[in-house]
Amino acid sequence: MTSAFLSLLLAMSAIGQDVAVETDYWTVEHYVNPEGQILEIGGIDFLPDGRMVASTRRGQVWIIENPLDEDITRARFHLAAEGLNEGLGLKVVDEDVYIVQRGELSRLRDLDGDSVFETIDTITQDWGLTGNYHEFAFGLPRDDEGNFYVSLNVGFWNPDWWHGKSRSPWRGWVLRIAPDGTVTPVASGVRSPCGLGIDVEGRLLVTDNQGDWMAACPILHVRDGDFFGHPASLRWTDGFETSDELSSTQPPGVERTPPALWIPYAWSRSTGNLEPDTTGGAFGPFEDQLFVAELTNGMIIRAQLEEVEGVTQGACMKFMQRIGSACRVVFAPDGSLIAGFTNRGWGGFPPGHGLARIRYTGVEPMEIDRIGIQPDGFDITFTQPVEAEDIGTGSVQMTAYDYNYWWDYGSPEQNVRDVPVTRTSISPDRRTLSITAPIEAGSCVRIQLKGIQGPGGLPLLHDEVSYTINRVPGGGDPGIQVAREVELPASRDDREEGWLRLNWGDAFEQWESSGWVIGEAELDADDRTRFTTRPGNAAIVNTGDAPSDFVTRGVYDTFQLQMKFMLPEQGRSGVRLPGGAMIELKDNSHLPGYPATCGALVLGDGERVEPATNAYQGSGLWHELTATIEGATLGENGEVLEPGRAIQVAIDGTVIHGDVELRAPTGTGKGPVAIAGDLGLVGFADVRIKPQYSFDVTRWTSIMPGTNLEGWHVLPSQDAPNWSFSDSLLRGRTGGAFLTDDDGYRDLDLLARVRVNDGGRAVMLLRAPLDDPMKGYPTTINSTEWEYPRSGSVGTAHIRTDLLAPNQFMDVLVTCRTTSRGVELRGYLNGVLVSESIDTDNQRESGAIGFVILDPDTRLDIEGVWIRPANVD
Amino acid sequence: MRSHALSLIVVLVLSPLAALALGWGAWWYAESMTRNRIDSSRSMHRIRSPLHGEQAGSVTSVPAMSARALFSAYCAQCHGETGDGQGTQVLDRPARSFKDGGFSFGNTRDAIFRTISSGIGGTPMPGYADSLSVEERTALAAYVQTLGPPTLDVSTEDMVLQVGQVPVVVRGHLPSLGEGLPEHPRGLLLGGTDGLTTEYRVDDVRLLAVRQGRFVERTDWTGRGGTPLKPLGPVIHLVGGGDPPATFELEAGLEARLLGTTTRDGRASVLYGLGDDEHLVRVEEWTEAFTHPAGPGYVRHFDIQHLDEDRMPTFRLPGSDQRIIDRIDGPGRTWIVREGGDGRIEIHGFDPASATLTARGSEEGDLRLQLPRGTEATLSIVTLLPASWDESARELLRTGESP
Repeated sequence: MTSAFLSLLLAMSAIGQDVAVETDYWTVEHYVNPEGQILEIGGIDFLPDGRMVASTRRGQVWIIENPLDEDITRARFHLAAEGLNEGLGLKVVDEDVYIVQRGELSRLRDLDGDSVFETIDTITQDWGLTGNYHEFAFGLPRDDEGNFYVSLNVGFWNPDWWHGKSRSPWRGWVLRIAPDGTVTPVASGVRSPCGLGIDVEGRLLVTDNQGDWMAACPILHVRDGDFFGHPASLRWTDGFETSDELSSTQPPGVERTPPALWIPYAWSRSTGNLEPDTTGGAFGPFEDQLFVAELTNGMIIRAQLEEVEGVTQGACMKFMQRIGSACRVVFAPDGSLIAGFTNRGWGGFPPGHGLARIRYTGVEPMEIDRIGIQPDGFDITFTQPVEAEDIGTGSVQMTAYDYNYWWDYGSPEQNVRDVPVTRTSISPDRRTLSITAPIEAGSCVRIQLKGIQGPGGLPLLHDEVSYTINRVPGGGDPGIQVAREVELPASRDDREEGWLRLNWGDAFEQWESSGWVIGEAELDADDRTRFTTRPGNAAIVNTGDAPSDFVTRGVYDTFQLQMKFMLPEQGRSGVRLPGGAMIELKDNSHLPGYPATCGALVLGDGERVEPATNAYQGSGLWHELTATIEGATLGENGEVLEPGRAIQVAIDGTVIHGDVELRAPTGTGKGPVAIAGDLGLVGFADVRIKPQYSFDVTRWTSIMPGTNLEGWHVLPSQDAPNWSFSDSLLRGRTGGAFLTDDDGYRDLDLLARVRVNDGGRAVMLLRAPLDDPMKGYPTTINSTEWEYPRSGSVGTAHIRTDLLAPNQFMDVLVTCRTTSRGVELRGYLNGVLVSESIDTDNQRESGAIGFVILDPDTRLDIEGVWIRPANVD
Repeated sequence: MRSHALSLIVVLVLSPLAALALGWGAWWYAESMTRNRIDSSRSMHRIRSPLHGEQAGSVTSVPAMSARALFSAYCAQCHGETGDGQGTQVLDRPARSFKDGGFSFGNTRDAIFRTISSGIGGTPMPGYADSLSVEERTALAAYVQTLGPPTLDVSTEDMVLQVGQVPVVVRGHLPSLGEGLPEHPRGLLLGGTDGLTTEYRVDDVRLLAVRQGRFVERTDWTGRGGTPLKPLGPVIHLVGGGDPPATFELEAGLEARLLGTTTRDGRASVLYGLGDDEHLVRVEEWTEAFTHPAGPGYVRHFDIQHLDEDRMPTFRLPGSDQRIIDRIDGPGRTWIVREGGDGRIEIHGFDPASATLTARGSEEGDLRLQLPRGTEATLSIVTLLPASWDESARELLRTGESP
């Protein structure tokens, strides 16, 4: 009673404010984990006597007594079983606990009533396991006939891990398991189908996770024979029995069942299971609607489905944000929603393990209750009548988009377009808003409602809804899906070209820094302004003493930048650009409504340019920052003739700055890029820079050998050449070396445009003796072999950063100068200085130029080799 | 001249490491990493080297000198008393400072142990495999590790599952039991309170190996998950060389299938079915440690239910590929003594009242036990693994089970 009154007071306090707060209507309480235990929840249900039972990814089963006690700290955890091979789905039937493990569906029984499951019966193990790490089995809803449903993840192998594969039966399938254990494959084409559920209409629903062939996270309505688009599973169907018939990149040409719902990627990047609200109002006004677990953003999403012309489709909206990596949800007998958290292996919002319960306070929110599609728009019903007598079309913003159906990892929203709202009207009871707009089947729409208020000015708790339109009523089959077949995307190799991966391999080597450490970082659940770190390599964080800026050793002027970042609450950092401007990275997610300021440009003259829109999702979440920067044009005395520009800045693909002039009082020309370390806490990872550079090779002398390598020393012999020419490339395979006839080269610049495969290794040599070439000065060409110096290493300076991805053409420049200090070598990759070495003993006075393959698995392609004298600029 | 270069290149191509070891252009690789100012523990690609007992041994006996004293005696003249690389010995190239965590071949205890044992070729760092014992090198490696910055390794103890008062059953991916033997993505480990671990592959429910000692380290949920289990106890018996034949045979084509596991009555059992759904013979199998004066071993118990008198399974005595060198009828047990190709002795004993011995298979050593007709039966098979076989062992089997 007291608590309900308090809640009411709290809710009242929200009234009249601009922002409604979720926890005024639903409270979130986290269970206290048993001492020292990590409970990564994979399944939850209730025993007939009211005790809760939960299985974990780590193969434990816990029984929780007093789970619904008013005082949550009175819940008691008992370890009831351990040693399962994961437990990512659980269902209680009578007194028995059914759990889907990685390799079997099992029934656990406590025969002597000691809260320990002594017996684990195998119901079936009739599906394949190759041993791949990603071969999860998820569950575990049960239908009215007593059938269980399980979904099986595809596996991921190197190379090309992003192409999911089905190397054992029923990977990428949804299975029905009869009470006697008989397994029937029901539907195919799923990828990483982490969550299942059955709604009040008896529909079997499965969620999937974005990746190859899965544009975003969908909710699938699964019927016998359906195929949802991921081709790997087809291997177990007629016509695709051998994997040769399945291309990793070409669509399989099999008819796809459209997902009932696509959840916007900004809301869900890893979707868990879903459960319908059958609490009869105990959980609030959303009877029969679906509640969906979400890991990455730590959210519960609300979803509702309708059938239009026999096709299932529907809508989703945010329900409760920032509660933890929700992987599983289930309704308790008292109408609370229990959420189970898991993030290990997938990443997610903290806390990444444990359990929470969400309870309705009884205070009714002003919220979108339902949205239904009409031939010419939508009807949106609210939980309470709207206050205004009229809502103008200006209060409704509608955006449509679609996706690509392709092999690449996920799909950005495509063809994003505004949909003009032509008319709005309110029903006489002021509960339903009708929107007239040109809607198209085969698209998703996001509708944002602005300024709509309930009684007493109560604002909408969530003002956005996303609807997936497979069909428009009366519109028939559009012959097109939201996820559309498109031209094949460029290969991953092509997209890597020219990028320097500055934290790949050795995360620190190509930078100057102090006070930064590398590890797994996540928000401290007790103090979200701080990080907790564990051993690992996911993030570089400035949690050390007096952190400096994290500054590149190389210098840049015009370049593209790509990096991942994460901020704690009130965290602040920025990317300092050459010339003095900074892209500010700042968190405000402790403030109500999470106002947007992340991504402001702070110019060299102190002026701020705020981001055009809020693309930042909040603290503790990883974001991708991309920027295209153009350097300033400087006069002879360093004065700025033309200021630099931020051509584009984006967070997670959403453009937050168009073309902004980077005014600065003075110019610096080329300069380092730095991550600010002294403004506040930040975590970042995987900074990549693609420098713009060019070599005017017309001013160089090409020494690229002719097609027969005439005039060169070729080893091991001319008779069995390992060198061949094709497509204007000199291709070196397996082994061998070639050297210039002239062994009198001394100081010069040597430039080569080369490409080497994953695992391949070669060196360019300077001043090499013809009879013992390896005594020359080496410049390494090696993208991946970790125990050897990596590409760009000169002399004894050994780079341990995998700056360039394999199979990419790189411009390797080495300069060789004899000075009073010795023979000085400098190595540049794509125009950026990456290593320096001095031979103080002057061991080699002169010699030949050459190439040597050092590993038998090498495939080295040489497009050109040029030299110029040392005295040219 | 040309042929000289040719041979060098061939060496390089066939074995790049060998080429470098020959000193061929090795001058710029030999300095490898010495200029690297980077703390290797911060690398994105850390190579974890789990501590294997067979390399850096656990310190069981105390070395004659303390690790600190060993360091002073063997290391400090070059590396300095504090490990800062400022020793009294004048070297062309300064010895490594351990203070900043830089180690030539990694900073795990195993890696340091290897470096201490083998030295670093081409540098003044000698190997101490001949002059220091395993215990001394292990202690020294541990001590050197403490001179560097704290390492980031997760405590393996967090991941070790132990058997306490009650037996424990673990399902998971089993690693290979040896060269040429497969991993088993569906595997089963039964840990008994007597320290015995039995290891089964699940697909056809066959006992692969018996271990003794600590139970299992679970790494399957670390990182991205899905990695194999790491059973900890040493294998005392690799059944059928790690690829055992079916335990029971009923009809061709009918494999055993897993029905479940239990940990009732203080024992961990595996339950499996033989036959088809209509006539499913149910077997409960569990294992206990067993000691006999003739040698250590274990006993497998079988409780067999729902036998169909017209379709009786036979038990196949393990080791059919081994030569039978003796058969002894002792009190209450018949013993079959076999010798493997590697000279190891394996003795199987059973109560002749519980089953009849028949030779059935195509090979001479393929012995079967026929169960008595009925609807249920029990069978206990003792396996002894004596170190050697002689007349006194034979006598112990013949006369009785206890002295």
